Amino acid sequence: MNTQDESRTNREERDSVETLRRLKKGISQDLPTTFQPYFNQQVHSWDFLFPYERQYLLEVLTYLDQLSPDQRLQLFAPIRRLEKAMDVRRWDFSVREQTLEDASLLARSPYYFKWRGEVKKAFDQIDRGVEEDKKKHAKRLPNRLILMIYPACLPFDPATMWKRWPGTGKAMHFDADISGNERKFVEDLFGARGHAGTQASGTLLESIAQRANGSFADVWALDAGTALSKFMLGAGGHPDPVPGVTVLSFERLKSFRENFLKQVNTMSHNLSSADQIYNQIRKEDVSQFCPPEIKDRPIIREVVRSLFMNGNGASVWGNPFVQWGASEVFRRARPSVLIGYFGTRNKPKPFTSVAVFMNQNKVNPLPAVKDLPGSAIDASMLSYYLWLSSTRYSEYQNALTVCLAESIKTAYIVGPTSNPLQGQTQPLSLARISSALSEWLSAPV
Amino acid sequence: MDVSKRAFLRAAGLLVAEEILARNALARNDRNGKGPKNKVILAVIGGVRRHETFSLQGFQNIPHLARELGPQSLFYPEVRNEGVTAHFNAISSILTGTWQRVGDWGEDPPTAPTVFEYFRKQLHLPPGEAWVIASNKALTDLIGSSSAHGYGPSFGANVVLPKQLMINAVVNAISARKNQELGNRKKIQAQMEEMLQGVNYEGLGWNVFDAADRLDPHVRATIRKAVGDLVRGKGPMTGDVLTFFMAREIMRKFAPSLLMVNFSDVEVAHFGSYSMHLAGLHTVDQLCSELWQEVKANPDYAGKTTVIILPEFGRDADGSSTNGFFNHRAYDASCRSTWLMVLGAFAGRPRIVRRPIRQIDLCPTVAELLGFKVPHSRGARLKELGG
Repeated sequence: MNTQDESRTNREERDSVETLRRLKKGISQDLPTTFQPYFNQQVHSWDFLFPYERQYLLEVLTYLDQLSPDQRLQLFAPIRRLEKAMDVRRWDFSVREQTLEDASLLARSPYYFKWRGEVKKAFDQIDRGVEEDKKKHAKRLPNRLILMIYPACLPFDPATMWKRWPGTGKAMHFDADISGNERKFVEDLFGARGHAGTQASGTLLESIAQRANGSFADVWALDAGTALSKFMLGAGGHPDPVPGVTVLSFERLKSFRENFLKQVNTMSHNLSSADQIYNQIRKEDVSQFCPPEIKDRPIIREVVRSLFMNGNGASVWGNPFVQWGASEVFRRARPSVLIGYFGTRNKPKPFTSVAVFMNQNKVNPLPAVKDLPGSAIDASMLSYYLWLSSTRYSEYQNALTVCLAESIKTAYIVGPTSNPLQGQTQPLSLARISSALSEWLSAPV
Repeated sequence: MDVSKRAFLRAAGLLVAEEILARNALARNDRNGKGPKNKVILAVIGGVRRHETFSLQGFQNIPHLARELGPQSLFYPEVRNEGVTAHFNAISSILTGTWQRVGDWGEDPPTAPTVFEYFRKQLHLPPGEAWVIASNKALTDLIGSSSAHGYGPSFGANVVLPKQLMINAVVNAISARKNQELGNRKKIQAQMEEMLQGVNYEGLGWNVFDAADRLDPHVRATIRKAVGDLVRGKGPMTGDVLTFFMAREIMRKFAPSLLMVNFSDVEVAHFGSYSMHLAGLHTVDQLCSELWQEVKANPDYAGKTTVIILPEFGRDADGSSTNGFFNHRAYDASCRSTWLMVLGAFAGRPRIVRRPIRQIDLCPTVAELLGFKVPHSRGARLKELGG
């Protein structure tokens, strides 16, 4: 999404903000203490939420608002009881935002497991209510695509590569130049013209661009290195960036990451220090550390900040970044197209790797050596995790997932059997894969 | 030793109380007939899932545990961590026999007496009889004793955090702009020995060896030997390998009757590398075997030592919202369920005990083996041990 689009979206959502505040105010006193940080933080971050998140928040608040006070009391009663048993009132619990210290207090409580169960039950009930409302306005969703690419340098064993994946998936051979020229592979895949006999009218890139044109949060390219990101940001036959595609490259975020870790490394060994540092990081103007494709996009800048601050965001390698980033993007934005490009990491260097993962190349004079087998094991597991994270959401029930492992010239396909790759003659050419995926994306809603 | 010096040494993380400094020879007090007849070594591994260990798919990752040690062990395949699945709390729970819920980062000591304190207090044993050698950064010197009334540091274990020595050496080299030396094993050794001399350096966390210049020469020589073994060795240069070398040297020089070794290379999983998590698992598998070989070969341990190997917990299941193997906070079966292996003197005939047990059952079991009581423990003794 460019700045203009973002402004337009913000204008369109302004009315929603008023609704949001009204709803929030109406139910605030009925929310259990441990629920409040989530809602307050979401409301506070409204400007940086994706359309999906905004819609969900409004739906949840609307649902809660529609309940009578007694029904709300009943919904949250088990959580309130547990809060009382945990003596949350004495915790100095922050209702404004989620903190590490509060999370730790909760996790250490003997009632934590029960509390989680009750929170899940409450959200399940809320979600069921929200879903009921949604069904009334149900519309058919466009075809979704999850495309993962493992570059030729990653060695895989064809006999074991797909063992974790569901048996419903199908391995198909493809033919391609696997000389290791990553740029060429990407160009051939995305730039290849529609194959005769298919219904696609343009290249895969054109179909992706068309999809990206519809919503700023709908197409994401996550790259462990730079091959995919460079292509999406303008290369070869298309010198300009593909409009609307959000590109996150681990390599291109190096300055961002280094600044983040520099601050994290000043942390003392306690939770309040961690919360203090994280508060600083939250407030810092990070635009100076952002690559150009992100610098002027506040929502995406905040996504990156959040990726590094939460979960396993401090990942020091590209492949977990692709997986974790995708997992968060699925959760927050529900994109219809997500492309993940895996890569390599270096072997840990003797001695220094014990202390510093991040800056090994800076601090250790030994030459960096790529760990190709290790990177392949990581990519194999993490791509599976990437797919698993999509399966948590109903929107992806009929998504087509295509994994392209160059070194073994094998594609693994999971998704509806009616997809355009089924029944194709093998080995597939890249052009055929490209046009089939283009056809999938171009199918009318 | 005055109180402030003692407090300083404790704060520094390596408690070598004056008794041990003054009486190196007495540290091996079993030879004088004053120590217990039996010895116990706990090898506690960081979080590993059943899937990657004792499962059909997992055996390949643990050839030593599965094929060499397993068949001669008393093995419990169903062990539950019912407490907080974070490092300091999990280990505190194992050591106290109660589910501990203190700070995750080792800011506070366990609230119930540790097995070390019961052991030393009831049997009137000197500090050299109980040691903790740990890799995990989440542990601090507070793991060696509790805040329980009537117990505390004067009955606790010596706590050595060898990985911190490596970390300090690296940080010191970097801050002194000696980066070029980090590619050279001999220079690395010199850096680490410099740490032992207490030369100006800043620690990353626990400052374990801030007090290195006060170390007893015997202790310092022990650590130096372990560092030398690590640097000269051809194996991986990891925190766990140094921890093993350190534990082995302490066994050889001090022969403690109660020793806990904590391995944590597997925790690299938090950074999202499955291959490095598996590499950590391979390393600890090898080190468990070497630890057992050392027990069999060391005359102070051979024939009278029980070795107990267990992970702190599992890790989260694939597909969990907490990112599977990366973490151990889903509190599901994959995270809570683990296993336990007993080798040696009191393991009895090799067998698999399928009844579920809890990690807090270990504390009263160790107490039974070494001959003391654990009145505050909530665990139940494992009756299968005892020969």
